[in-house]
Amino acid sequence: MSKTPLLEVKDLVAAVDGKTILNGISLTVYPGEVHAIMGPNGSGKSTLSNVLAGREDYEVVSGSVTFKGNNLFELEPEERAREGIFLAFQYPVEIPGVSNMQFLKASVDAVRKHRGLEELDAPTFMKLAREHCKELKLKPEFLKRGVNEGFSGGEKKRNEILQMALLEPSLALLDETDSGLDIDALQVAAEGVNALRNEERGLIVVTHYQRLLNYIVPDYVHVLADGKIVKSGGRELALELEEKGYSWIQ
Amino acid sequence: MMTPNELKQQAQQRLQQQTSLEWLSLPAKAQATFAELDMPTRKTEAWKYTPLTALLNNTYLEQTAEGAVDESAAADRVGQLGDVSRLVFVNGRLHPNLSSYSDLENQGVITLFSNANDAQRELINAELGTAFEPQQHVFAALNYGSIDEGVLIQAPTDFKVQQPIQLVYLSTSEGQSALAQSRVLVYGAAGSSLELIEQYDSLGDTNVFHNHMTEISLQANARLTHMRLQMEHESLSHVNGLHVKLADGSHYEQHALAFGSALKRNDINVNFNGSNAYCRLNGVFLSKHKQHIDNHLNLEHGVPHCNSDTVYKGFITDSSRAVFNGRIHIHKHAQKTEAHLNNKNLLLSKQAELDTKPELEIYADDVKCSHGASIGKLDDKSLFYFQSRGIDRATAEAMLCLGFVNEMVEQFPNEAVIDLARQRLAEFFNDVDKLNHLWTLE
Amino acid sequence: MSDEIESLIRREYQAGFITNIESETLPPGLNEDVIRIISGKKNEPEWMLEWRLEAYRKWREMDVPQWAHLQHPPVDFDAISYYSSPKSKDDAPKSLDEVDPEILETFEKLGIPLHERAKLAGVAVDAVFDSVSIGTTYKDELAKAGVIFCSISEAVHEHPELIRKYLGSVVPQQDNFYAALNSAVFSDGSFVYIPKNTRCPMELSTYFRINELNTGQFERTLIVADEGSYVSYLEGCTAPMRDENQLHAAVVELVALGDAEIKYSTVQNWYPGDENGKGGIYNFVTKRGVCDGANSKISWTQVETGSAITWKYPSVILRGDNSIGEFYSVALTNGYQQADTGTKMIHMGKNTKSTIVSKGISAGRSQNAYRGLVRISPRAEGARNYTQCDSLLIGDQCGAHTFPYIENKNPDAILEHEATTSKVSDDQLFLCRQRGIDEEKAVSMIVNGFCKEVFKELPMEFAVEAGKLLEVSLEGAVG
Repeated sequence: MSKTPLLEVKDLVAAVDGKTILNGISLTVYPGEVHAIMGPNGSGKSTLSNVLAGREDYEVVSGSVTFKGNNLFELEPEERAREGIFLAFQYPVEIPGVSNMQFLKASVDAVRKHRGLEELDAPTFMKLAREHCKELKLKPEFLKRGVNEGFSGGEKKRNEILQMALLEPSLALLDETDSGLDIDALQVAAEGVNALRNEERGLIVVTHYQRLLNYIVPDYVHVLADGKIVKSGGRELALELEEKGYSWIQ
Repeated sequence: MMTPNELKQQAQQRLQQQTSLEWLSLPAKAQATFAELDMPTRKTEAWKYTPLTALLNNTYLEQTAEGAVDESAAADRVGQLGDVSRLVFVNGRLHPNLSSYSDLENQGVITLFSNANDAQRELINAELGTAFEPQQHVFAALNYGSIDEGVLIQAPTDFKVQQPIQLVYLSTSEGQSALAQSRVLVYGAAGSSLELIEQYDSLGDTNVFHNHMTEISLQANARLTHMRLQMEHESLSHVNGLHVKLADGSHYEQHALAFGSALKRNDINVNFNGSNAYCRLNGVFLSKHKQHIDNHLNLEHGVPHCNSDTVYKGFITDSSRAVFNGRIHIHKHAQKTEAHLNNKNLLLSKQAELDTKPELEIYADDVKCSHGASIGKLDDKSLFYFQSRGIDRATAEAMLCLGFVNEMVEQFPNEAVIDLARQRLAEFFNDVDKLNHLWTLE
Repeated sequence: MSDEIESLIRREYQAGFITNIESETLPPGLNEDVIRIISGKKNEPEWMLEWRLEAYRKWREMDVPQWAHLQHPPVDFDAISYYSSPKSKDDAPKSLDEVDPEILETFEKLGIPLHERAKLAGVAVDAVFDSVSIGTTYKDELAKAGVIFCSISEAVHEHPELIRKYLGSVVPQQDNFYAALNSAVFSDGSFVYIPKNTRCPMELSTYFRINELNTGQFERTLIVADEGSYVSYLEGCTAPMRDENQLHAAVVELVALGDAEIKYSTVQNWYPGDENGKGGIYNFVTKRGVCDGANSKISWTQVETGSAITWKYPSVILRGDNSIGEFYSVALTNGYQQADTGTKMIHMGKNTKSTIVSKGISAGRSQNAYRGLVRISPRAEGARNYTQCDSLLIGDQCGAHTFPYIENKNPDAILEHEATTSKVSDDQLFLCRQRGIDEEKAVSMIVNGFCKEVFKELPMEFAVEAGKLLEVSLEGAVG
């Protein structure tokens, strides 16, 4: 394992509409590691992912975040994405009229260009996209539909994993990827994620429930409450939480 | 600049010319109506947001436009829809060399008014001018008061016309400012079906005022799929009336794409005369520069058990101005009607203006009606989604604009028409290199 | 308190008003002399008379507006007396006990007989009877807080600087035909001034009652909320049943300065005419507020069940940055009533927000139209509007209409408008009846549910009243 951290969050304080949500978070992720962030509703889990991805509504009050040694806050959202940060949204937005294929191609082109790679020609890209669809048990017609338009909850989440597979990020943030999924859909999504685990890639899995961690097994578990990490531990912490509930931590 | 009254006097002179179709009863009636009407002003409710400046500043009505054209350039412009029966009108006059419709002419499906036989003359006299209320529209009266030619499209009983019919109205830059007029009567006999494509186009700058009328009469269980592409150069002025009558069980579907111009105004009237009829009106309008575009839709639900669905989207930028007015009128006995109308708009510039006025007028209780209108900018959440996938903001904005428009375009029920529309949209968006290839990824 | 106001009304009514009426009668018709007489009777200063005459001259040049979705015979403005004049002394009730028993019955049904109305705890009431202010309760308490609450006639004398500054500042004399007429001949009304940083210690209320015959009613209300102040104002209206149509052309002006908030609630129950459409009030009212300063707020809530004709568009001009305008309306029409009512939200300041919730209920042979304008000016960055118009039809002889005008000149604004039309569904009715609720009660429950969003904006006492009013107004609409 490399000694250079992929992501280093130090004393991060962030606010939404003037209200402090994150209250001093510190977290270090090395390549190859899987970190789970758990916490009750309103603990700030989603805020952390959104701040890292660069959402404008979230104001960074203090603290620092370095990604691959660079100050993350100097980058626009699209630059972060090109550098390798991928956020799998909890509620992916629907964009009628823009086909999923157009969207994926524009995205992959932008990221590949930034990494000094050739743009994929249309047939190659389509072939690649179809292959990934198959792995995620998505029908090829899925690519022709408007982005997330009329997708079921499970399809939306699988579409996020599909994008993750195509963009090959170095750090993926999964924001409550399990919410709204039944057990079968959850397994498919988790298999998709696990297929992308490797020595180089970091993964932050944000979840309310332990259930997802049966499928995506984390190296570390952090518990978030009131905008702070109140407890960190290994895999066993998640199980303990499930047994005792969040009130045990608070 | 002329006064509205002077404009009317000019128009009056166009009416005094003799028509060669002396068997037609409508012109005399329309001329009398015209004489009684005033040119609309800003105080006329239906023209509240439509300045007539373009008409008052030009001398369109002093002469009628000529029908000459550069044939090879025109052929490129009109020939993109593949296997269709095509009639091309240059400045309102039929251009035989650019047209090809002999099969349907021989079958009696397409007939010029000047070639109409007795039965067809009777049909034209019975149907033309009945679907609209000319007293409400001075330009319809002007059109019908000076008919020298027209097209009758007649689908016989239970006859399915296989080949789409393409009508192209080409405006050219030849000559000084002038008036071009045209009109079509579509008669779908019981059980017939037909696909009609109207393409309004131009070759470069065009100093023409095009005044057009389309009338459609669908008999029991007849079906018409109607696509309309208004893609003329922005220098043109264009007033267009579309009037539809629907008998029992008939089915009418319109898909429209329209770009703004010096003046562009579309009035659509749909009359439900028989029960279980259905009407879909889909449209997308775009305006930029100093263009103006107006859409006035009126659905008259006069009988029970008819449904209508209307979705119009507007894209407005630069110093342009767009207007949408959509009225659903449920008459007293039109119970069990379900009518919905929606108008969504993207307004992207500080100099632009959009006025929208959906209306419900309901006199029956057992109905389900709704309308909605929204005006907004590009959605922040969607933009962030693009950016979070590495797409820069400018591209994201352009893609969202295209997507907004494409959502309507992709519903055109004809692939060749979609391709043509997208090609011209790419030109409209002026961003061909960056975005054009996106259309090909399906 | 109820005894106090009742005796107040009684006393004024018996001792002052009735006995003086004959000598105050003016012949029908309007000219400059009539205006001089009105002004003279009120002992007005010269500037007030000039203002009225100016309005009159403008009015003479104006035409009756024709654009509304309303049909009625033209009003003969020469047949109206512009100063109170009863048909005969015998016709006028001598005390509340003699008021037409049907009216009293109506109040009984509402659960708010006149003598109980004033029981509303913590509400200061200005009773306006036939356009003349009878008296105001709680005056002393209000004075301690620096709040001015008096009749507008009194204010012309006592607070001329405020009247000269604000009268006509929101609704200019020539604003529209009826506003111009009102400006020329207005009789009385209420004036409210809330000083800076003052929260008005109680709800203020004006209770309007038209009683006399063949007389136009022209109240004028002016409310000024100075910086950082708050006031909630309630207005109630009733009228007896007369066979003739009566004209009511009031003007209400609201001014909210920086950080001020005005909440204006109306329960309007003017006589709507009888079951054959005979009689009833022609209600042509101009109500407008201006959010003049930053962060100010004006909220109109109205429950309209009365009048033969309603022509009324309580509006807000959102001039101050971050100002807020709201319009919550229930308009119920039954019998032969016609209503053309709605609002205008004119966004001029940055980040201005407006909300419009309109609930129209049409029954009988009535026509009920929502007409609204939302206009966004080029400098109204960040403006937001949300409009929801729902119509409910009861029976197949009535009409429900929606005419929104949406004009936007700012790309940073977001506007949403939605309208729906529905009827009381057979399924809903059946469920209620299966549970033992009779049809009329069931309809009234469903209608109340339909209006809930608006009722929750009303002060508590009014919300109860409004619900009962709907029930009464719907009588005979079912079956």
